[in-house]
Amino acid sequence: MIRTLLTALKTHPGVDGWLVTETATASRQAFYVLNKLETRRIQETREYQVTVYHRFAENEKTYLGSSQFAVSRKLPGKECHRMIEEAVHAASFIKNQDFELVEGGTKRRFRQTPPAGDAFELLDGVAHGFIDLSTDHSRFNALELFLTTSTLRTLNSRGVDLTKTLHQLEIEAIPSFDGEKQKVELYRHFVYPSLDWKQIRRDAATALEEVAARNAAGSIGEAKTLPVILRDENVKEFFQTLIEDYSYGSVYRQMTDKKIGDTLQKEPKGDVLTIGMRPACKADAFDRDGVILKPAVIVEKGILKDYYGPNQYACYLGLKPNGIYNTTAVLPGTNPIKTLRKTPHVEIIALSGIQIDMYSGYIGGEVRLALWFDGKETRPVSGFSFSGNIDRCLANLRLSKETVTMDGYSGPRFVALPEMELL
Amino acid sequence: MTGRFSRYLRNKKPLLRQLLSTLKERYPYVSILATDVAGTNIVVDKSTTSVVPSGITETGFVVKVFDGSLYSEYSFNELEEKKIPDIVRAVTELTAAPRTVAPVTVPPLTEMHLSKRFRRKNVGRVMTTDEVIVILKQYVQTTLALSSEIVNVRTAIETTEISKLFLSTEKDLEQYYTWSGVRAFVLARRGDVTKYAYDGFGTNSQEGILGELKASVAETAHLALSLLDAVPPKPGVYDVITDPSITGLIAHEAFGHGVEMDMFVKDRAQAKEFVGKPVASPLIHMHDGARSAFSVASYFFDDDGVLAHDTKIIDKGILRRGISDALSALQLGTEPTGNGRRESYKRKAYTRMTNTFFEPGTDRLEDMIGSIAHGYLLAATNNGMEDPKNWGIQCTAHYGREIVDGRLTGKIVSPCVMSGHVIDLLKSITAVSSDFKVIGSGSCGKGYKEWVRVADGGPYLKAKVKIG
Repeated sequence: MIRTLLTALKTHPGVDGWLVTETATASRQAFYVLNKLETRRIQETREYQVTVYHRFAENEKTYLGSSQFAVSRKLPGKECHRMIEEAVHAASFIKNQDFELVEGGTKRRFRQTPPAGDAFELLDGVAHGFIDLSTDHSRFNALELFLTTSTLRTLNSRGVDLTKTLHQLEIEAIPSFDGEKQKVELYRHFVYPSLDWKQIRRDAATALEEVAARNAAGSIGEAKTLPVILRDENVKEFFQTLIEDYSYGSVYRQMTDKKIGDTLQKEPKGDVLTIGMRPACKADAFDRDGVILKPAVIVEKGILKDYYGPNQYACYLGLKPNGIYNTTAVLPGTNPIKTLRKTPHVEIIALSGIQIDMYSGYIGGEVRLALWFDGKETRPVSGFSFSGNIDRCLANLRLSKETVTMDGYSGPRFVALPEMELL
Repeated sequence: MTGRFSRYLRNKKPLLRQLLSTLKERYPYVSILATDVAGTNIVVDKSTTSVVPSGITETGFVVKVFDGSLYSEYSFNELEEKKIPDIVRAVTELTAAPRTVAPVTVPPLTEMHLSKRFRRKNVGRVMTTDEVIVILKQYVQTTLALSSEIVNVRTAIETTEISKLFLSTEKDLEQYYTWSGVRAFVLARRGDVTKYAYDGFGTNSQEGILGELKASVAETAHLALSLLDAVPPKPGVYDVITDPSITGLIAHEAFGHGVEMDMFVKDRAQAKEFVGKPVASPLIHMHDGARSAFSVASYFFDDDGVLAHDTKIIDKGILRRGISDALSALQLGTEPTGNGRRESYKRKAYTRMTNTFFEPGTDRLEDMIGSIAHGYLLAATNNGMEDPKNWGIQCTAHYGREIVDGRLTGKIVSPCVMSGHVIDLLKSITAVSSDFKVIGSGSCGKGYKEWVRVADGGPYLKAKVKIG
């Protein structure tokens, strides 16, 4: 199919540039309910996204219009030409600023080491890592495993021809605890770039410990104001939300009023932030535009230093594109978590989802499990919400010395936010 | 838009029958779902225009087989006669793969004979891409001219046409339907204060919905400007009135996920123990079903080949029943309700909501506002997260209008994050308005994945809720 597409693109009149992304996915999936196998699935698909560019001039100004279409089945050459023709026609009405597609170099292929063994045997092995931890009271009521190999090839009219093959194990697990008075659960989602059996077992065991704590959790009582410590997945979401407005697209569309050189932390009294972006792994070497990814610093010591994102918008801003990254990387702090936990606080283990609205300055969420230290003892609590102001958080936050690496994030494992309203 | 069932699927049907027939010799149950979804998303803002495929565009197939102890599925998108032995081989390898975890005990799915074709075409003229771009640009320009505080405006239309074919021993079903959804987004800035507002809705008329977008963009702009003065609400427990979108958010996110009966199978839903018991104020009646309203989630049969239903879930505050996909119903010994939905042919079917809403009541909105000493009229769904096992709520309204002594004061608060216990909230409902609206502009995940298009809504409700 790729040959038919490329031939059509190279010969069709009116095509002044093109970008093709081919995605081949091979996935083995297994679903377990109450410790039993419920369904097994295989996915084997190959799909294409095709962007056609058409350059035209009007009133002495040059525009580069584009239109994209998807191909998820074999098309004869004639049908390819019809779709390209429609795309060229649409692009001729799109008066977007002119820009250059990424220039290619040598054809390159990047590969991650695949997991060894039969996929379904591996999945059952992973499942045992969870199921075998079951007790009379606790188990994973639902477990979904996805072992996926994705091969992405990006080609464009300026010679880009890059391929990367990535593997990942994704797990959705529902640790559950049947207590005397109630049944409780938590939601856990893990992504592993390789089969790290030790880490998987540790994560499974921790999930069951946490859900047992949710069963034991009490009320936090009357409304109060306390510092809040976030950890793991919530720390990742916190930092990802913090920098999402600093993409070239957001800046070009004026979604943010921050410019390079502006401070994100007004009069910081806590730790200053250094936030970067980097590829997920060595094989994750380029983005969908064909930009070769190198680690980039977006925020340095609390100051906005650079942007990231698609080539098109970088060109509009007159900048060299950093590219679209998978991973946010944050420099850790100097305080060990022991220090951050010394004074009364609430440490959040599970939220229904952290809510951050950078425009209104809101940060908060509904807490499903937390550990409350009142200065004397620590007890599990649930069924309350926390909220506060993001600017005040940024000026006063403290980062842990301990770090964590997970899908999409690398950096301090804990972030202590200043006093928040707990209700 | 072609205006007809996919020619590609029609052409492939003999091959799919051949595949079905071959697999039937080996398995007690076999079905094939074939999908061909075409769609375009046109987005225009102040400085750029994009024409990209709709996020649900796809063409492919999923074979489901039962081998006597386990259901297995194979998703693929290359189908030619010479490929059929490869597909059969892949399914065989899938079912023959060793198992070290015992399977659940389920019988084969049984089906009644059914052969039907369904069609719901786009109403009115289908505009060309260039015509649509001109209209969307005009809306953007007009709205930018309203105020110098408006820094950007984005208008968008997504047009989709969906063809699905379901084949099994007993069933031969085809459906074709279209949907056009529009969105407006306005960003306003005053000094270092930036706020935004948005709207979205749809119907099966591209021409009609583009016409309606004009007024929506203007209203969205006025709201964005008003939000420049908004402040966060002081955390506390308030009497509130929910507009139909927030009513829908509560119906869907706070309660609906808990009556998806695959959650009953997994012992993940507290609702399982509440069937026949009160879960809400007696004023509350709740429905879900692809046939219960007309929206983005209204189809004729689900991805299990089960015809669309209208399921009454809550009657006078009593939980009557849940909704289910075919496999969950089989495990629970109940009838499926036409709620088996896949994000894509590439994903598993789960029990999913469709059009979820509370029925209208008899109260007047003015009286409901008049009855509140201090509270908020909550509006505009922002997001929500389910907690079916423990009935915790997290639902966010984009803004709230302050009510003091029975009157709207003109003050706006934003955002309003509601939390608390679902049943406490539903039991606190003391008034239900006679208004009614079902809105379907968003997608819903199960956990943090498996996104499908859904709609929800209902009347205005008066309730007590924690805003934090």
